[in-house]
Amino acid sequence: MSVFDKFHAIVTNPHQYPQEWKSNTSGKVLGLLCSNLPEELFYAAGILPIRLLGANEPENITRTYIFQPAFCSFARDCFAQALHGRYSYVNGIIFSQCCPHAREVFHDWRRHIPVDYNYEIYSPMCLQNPNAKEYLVHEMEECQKSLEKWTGKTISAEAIDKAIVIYNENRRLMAKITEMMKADAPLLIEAEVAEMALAGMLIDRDEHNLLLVEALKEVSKRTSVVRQGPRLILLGSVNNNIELIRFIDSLGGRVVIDDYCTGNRYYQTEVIPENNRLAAIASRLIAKPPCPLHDLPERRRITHYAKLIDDYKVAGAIYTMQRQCDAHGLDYPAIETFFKEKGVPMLKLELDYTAPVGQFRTRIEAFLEMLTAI
Amino acid sequence: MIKPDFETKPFSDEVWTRMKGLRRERYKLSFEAQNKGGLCVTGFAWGYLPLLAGFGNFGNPSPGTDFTRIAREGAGSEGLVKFVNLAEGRGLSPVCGAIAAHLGQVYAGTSFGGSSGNKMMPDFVFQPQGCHAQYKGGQICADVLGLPMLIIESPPKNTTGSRKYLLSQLAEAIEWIEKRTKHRFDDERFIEATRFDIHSRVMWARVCELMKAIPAPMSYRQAMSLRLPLVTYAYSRGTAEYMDILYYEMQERVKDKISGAPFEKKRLAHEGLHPLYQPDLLRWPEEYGAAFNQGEFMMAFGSFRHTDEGHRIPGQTLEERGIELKTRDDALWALVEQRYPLEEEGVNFDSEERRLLHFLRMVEDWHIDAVMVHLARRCAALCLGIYTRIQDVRKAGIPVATYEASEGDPKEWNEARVREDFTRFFESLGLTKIGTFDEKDEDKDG
Repeated sequence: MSVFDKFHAIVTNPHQYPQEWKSNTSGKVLGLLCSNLPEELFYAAGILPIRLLGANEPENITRTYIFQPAFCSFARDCFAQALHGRYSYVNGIIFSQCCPHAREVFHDWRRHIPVDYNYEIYSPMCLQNPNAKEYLVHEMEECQKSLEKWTGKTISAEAIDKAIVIYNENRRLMAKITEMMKADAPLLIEAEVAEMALAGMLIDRDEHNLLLVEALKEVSKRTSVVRQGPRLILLGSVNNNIELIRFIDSLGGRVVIDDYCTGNRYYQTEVIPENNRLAAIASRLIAKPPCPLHDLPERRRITHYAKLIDDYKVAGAIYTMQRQCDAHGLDYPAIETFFKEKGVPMLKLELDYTAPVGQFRTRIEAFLEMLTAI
Repeated sequence: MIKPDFETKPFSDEVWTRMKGLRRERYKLSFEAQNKGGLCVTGFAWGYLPLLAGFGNFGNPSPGTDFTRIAREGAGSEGLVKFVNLAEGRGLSPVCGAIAAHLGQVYAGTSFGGSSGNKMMPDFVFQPQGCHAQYKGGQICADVLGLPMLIIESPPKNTTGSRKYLLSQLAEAIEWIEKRTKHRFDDERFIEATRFDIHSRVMWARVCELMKAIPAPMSYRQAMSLRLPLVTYAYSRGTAEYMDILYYEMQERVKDKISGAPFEKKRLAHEGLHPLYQPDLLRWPEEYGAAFNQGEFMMAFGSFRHTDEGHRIPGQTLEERGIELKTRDDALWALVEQRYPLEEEGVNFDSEERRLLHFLRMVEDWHIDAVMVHLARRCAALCLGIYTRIQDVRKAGIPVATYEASEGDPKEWNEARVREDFTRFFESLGLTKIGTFDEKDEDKDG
């Protein structure tokens, strides 16, 4: 079995690994409703942190709980999985307070789905504020106390150090993978990279590191195949729909990088050691490329995109929005203007649980034709 | 002719004149302040305004000088819809109606002129507190106008950490403004504005408390107008004095059993921000002999404290607490403590359990029979946890009905549908449409 088949299996059956891990270790599984969380702390507590995801399938089970015209389809999809009992193995949930859509899921989950533990870290919206770090560290200290109470174990400094090392290694390995996509003829396709990235959010990070090392070896044996088609960046709302990436590829678009919180953005920026370990983790959360809600008042995402466009020689962009995702909706005009100024055309697509294949095919084909004609 | 259950009487000319005078003064001040070299800010700037008052008179055309007027006239294609469409045309979608309406005005370049023909240019975007969409909306405004943005964030957890965070931001904001605008901060002005701000909000909380009386001395619709000076002008001496007058008159009305509505066969609460372009909806219950008496948006600008049991009680003025503000730090701390009361240490203001408890206590304390909830499409902030809360309130035996629209986008307004929702609600409460009644209460809504 190729290591890429393993990643594919993890992503297509996201519940299997955590369930087996739980049964083998008797450990606790913590569901994460956001990617801006101090995961190293959870890992150091001996917990398996996993990202809670939707299944990209239609649902109507959340209608009783969530006012549909106000909350994004990803949030609804995610909560639908919980209501279906697919996350019954999750012992606790945690949320970094910023996005109201994720917060709705957090609230509904703790109210309607029994879990032993729930916690809310307030991550300042304005992370650029010089005082935000102190506040975030304070929040993380409180979170640590709460985790220790829940697990009945003290989280040692050594355990945090070890977690930082493992997570940093993970980020370095993923950086090597994404770096390969800069080549004119990458040895990978983006759907493979996206699966590797997403798999990391669903399994023990140490194991993920081993798989990534294996993947790098396997890739090094591949022969380069030059593919035609414009180089694309995917960006926008949270998106774990990897089939969409394959679909774009199948139409002749070469996706070379993404900026999803369930993809490349999640792995950005390492923790640089400081005397106060939590402060070091907080510094990373502040320094990493932000999501729209933390990108205030200065627009740092634009600087990040400028670099991605240049580094990955991007010719076109596809901005995928989950329906009712106002966080990304509010950022769209500024991002679109920037891409326009950069001479990189952008196509906006709205996701609503699933991607409408027929309509998207027509729109993406037209977009690719336009890029080719440029 | 049907005889009303309660005697109604307009509020005195003094109350209305004062309110309208303050509204006018604030509007004029926005232009005058800048003409005289004063500060001018925009954004969704409703909090910590005493800080800006420390720089002297300042303009604050947020969100848009003519927002209220446009909101009122917004049902037509020439009104609010035009601005919402303009914002959507710029790619802003999905986004809540109120933000779209404001940003549409910014894109159109009308936000800082208004119907007076005057023009002003803000110095920076001031964004204190607010929801995620307000923060981001403020940022878009800064983009469009090419302005810097100053954010004051106050986390929802009432902890020492939050107090420290807010205090440091407020203190640094003064330096930030001084450096950027070269305006000088005056501690005396700041202290005075802080004192008035706290006084005004405490008095409004007391006004709200008087709404517990049966009959309630003011209608919800009147409250939405009479509270207006609190929104952007609570820090002025005029507003503090106005609040004293209003409170006194409310007390007199309670004593004399003067009602805000002719009937209170059912006392109702309105939850959520009503469609701003459709304020008459707040009087619809009167056609069925009922009245809206309370709602979160009435209380929103008051300074309340909460008991452990969830009861809401008005805070105290600084004088009542024996606090004299002598220095800048004293005043900064007073603003911090207004947001984070020491007696509610450890509370998470966003806790759904807390929100529910307060809601149930509000229903109990204000003698509310049933609740109508506005489900605002595309507004995640107002609709957070709403379905669960509705279920919980119903479980507590309180009838709840809902209607769907938008607080700022008239395209979401379907009057026939909303009328049906209201009618169904009234009829389910055993109410029937009353005939004409001997109405002495002229609609003097501002």
